[in-house]
Amino acid sequence: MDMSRYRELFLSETREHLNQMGRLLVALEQEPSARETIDALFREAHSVKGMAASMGYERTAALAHHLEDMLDGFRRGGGMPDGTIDQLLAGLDLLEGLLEDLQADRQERDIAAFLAAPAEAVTPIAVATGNPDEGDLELLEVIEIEDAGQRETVSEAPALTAVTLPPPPVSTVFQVTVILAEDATAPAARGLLILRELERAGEIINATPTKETLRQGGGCPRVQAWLRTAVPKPRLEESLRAIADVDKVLFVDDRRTDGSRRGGEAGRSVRVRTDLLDLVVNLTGELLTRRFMLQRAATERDWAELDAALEQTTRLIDELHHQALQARLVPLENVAGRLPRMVRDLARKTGKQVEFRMTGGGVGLDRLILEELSDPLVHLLRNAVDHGIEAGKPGEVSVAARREKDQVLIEISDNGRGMDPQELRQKAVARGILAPEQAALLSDREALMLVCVPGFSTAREVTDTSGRGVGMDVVKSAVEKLGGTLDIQSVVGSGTCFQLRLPLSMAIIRILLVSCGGHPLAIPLTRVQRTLELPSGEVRSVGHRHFFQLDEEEVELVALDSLLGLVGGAAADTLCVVLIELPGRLVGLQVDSLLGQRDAFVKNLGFPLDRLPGMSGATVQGNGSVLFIIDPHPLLEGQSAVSLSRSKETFDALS
Amino acid sequence: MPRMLLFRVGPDQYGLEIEALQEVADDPPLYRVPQAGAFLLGAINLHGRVLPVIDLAALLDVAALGRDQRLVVLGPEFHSLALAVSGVGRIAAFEAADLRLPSADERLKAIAGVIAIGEQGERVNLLDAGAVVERLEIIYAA
Repeated sequence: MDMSRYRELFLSETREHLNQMGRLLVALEQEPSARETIDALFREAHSVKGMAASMGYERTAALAHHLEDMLDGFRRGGGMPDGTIDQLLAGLDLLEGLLEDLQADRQERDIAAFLAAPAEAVTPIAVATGNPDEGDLELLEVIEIEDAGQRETVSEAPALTAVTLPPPPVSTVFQVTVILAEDATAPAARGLLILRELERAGEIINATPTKETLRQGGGCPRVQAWLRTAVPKPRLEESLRAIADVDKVLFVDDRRTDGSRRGGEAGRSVRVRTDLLDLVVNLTGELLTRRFMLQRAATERDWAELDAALEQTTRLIDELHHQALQARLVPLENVAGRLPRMVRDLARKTGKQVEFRMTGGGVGLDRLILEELSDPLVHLLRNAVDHGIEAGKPGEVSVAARREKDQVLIEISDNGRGMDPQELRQKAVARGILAPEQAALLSDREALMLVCVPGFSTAREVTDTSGRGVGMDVVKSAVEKLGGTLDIQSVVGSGTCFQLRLPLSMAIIRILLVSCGGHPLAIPLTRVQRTLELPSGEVRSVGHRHFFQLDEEEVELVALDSLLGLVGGAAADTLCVVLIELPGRLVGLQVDSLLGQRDAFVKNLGFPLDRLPGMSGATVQGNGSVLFIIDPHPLLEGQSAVSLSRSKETFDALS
Repeated sequence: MPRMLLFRVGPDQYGLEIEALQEVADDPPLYRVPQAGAFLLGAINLHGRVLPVIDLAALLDVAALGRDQRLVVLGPEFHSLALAVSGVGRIAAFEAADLRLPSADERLKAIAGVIAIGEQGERVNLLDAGAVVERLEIIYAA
């Protein structure tokens, strides 16, 4: 039987078990004699063993079995000896490593070293590689890698195996073309030989001509195949050239990059509750009934009936759509599950006393959003422990999530030293990011947002890990890419709170349609504070910048067309303005006209459209035309950074 | 025998291996892309997917000499880029063994190999679709 179909399901379920085990182990460390926690851990390990064994993943099953045995021993012994938590956590890391191997279709990595370690080992298993701290250091280095923008998560590269064991051979995918000599005898037979040689080297993803064609005698001067193999190319070439009549062997690497990886998302699986699935099936059934109603009404030209059927169909489609989106929602816990463990490891490494709390783990978010959220959460928590929490004081770090209408609010807070806006202003000046006059103009809220400027850091000394600014720009752009916002609140001496506001789902959003430079464009409604019409006489110009008065506030007016490098529309007596709220300030976006609101199904854009600043997606309208969705935040911030640096130059030139 | 789609880019005859071709889109409406830059002519809606239209002549730095309304759409492994070219031609068979490796100058024009086809021995540059993607990667890097 082909088990690969069940692999995704196995991986996702096993990851949940491992997350749960991580949580339980951290809890057990607080209360080492908790019998029910050991029992629960035992059950988790047992489940993993059973699933891995039924899939034929021998090493994964063996390791889970080993952990199960260890836990059973402790259960009988009535408690956990010192150091065993570390050993169990190391085992968990190794299990995650095995899952990665399975995911990447590699051979499971070697676990012999772990199995050989005595169960009562007093010190962490990582001691085998030298310094007891090394395991933790490795962890931090892995997080540093994330700073470089790679999508690795903390536990994806277990320190243990990376140091002690040789890496498994990595298989790659490439295209190989074998060209036969012109005077080749029996090219079909040669082709078959070539395919057999390739099969021996690895997995043939597809081949032209196919084996069948060749068997039927279809000769071909060349054989081309996509191959997944761990065999190095020179060795493969050598073995292919050993076949008679082979003239040339050519390799082309797999150039498929990000785009296709995201495309690969389609093949990933998500578990859906059966009651939800039943509901969707029922709704589909009702829609079928409605279709017959519509057909009958149409043939009988019964307009009243047609209207009624259409109305019911619309309602059913809305409901179906809602339920289908529900099926994509995954509880935050799925990515947050590993956070307690991470905070524990960081606290230990920094020698700080940190308690971690999490609420709202059950809040659901679109799976895609959740995946992209994993790295930002890790960054924020690491910053909280590293730079928020003060040494020698009882520290608290918490993650709290809750629904707010069609958004989810996630707050990551600490009770540490907080950030001083004044200090941040001075730092920005010292770093040459802002002129003193500009820094003085920033509100406290804007000053806090300075930590999100690339390269900005408030750590007074450079530690072996990082300053606070490292990665915050990455966090902010990741959140914005998901259509969310990042806000920072901080009180000196009592702590900092990072607020992430995220849409529940990325698939459908409400948009504001505007005309800009003679073409329609869409702005996500979550980005719009409100719209207004402004008599052109109320606009005041200072140099190249324009302002207008709104209630008590002076608001800058920016033309969207010039922001996007489009040809501007004609001047009018009344200006249409879309009010955008940036952290700490409002900006008015001037557009040609406002065309109303509606729901839009967002299509992710491929390369290179996804690289354009402010481009957050597209939607296809009823008539098939393409409407681009513009996120004004990065555009306006980019613009202010440019204008700030420009005016900084002016300041410099004057002084 | 492998086959390729022939098309003109300015004065030069190019060919794209059928394996790298998704389809030839017949004059789809072109939508303006904000902040597109010189190489992105716009975007099209092809079977519900929004695809970028690349000005191949501009990218390869040759004179355009007109533009065919039809677009050459690359396969998904090349991000399904829709290439605007000067003229779309026929599909022709070729012998892989006849390919001559490109010179350094030819490589700059995203040429994977040069071949003479047909009775007249017409010179055709085999397009290196990967090189087109690589060039765009550089232009649109972060």
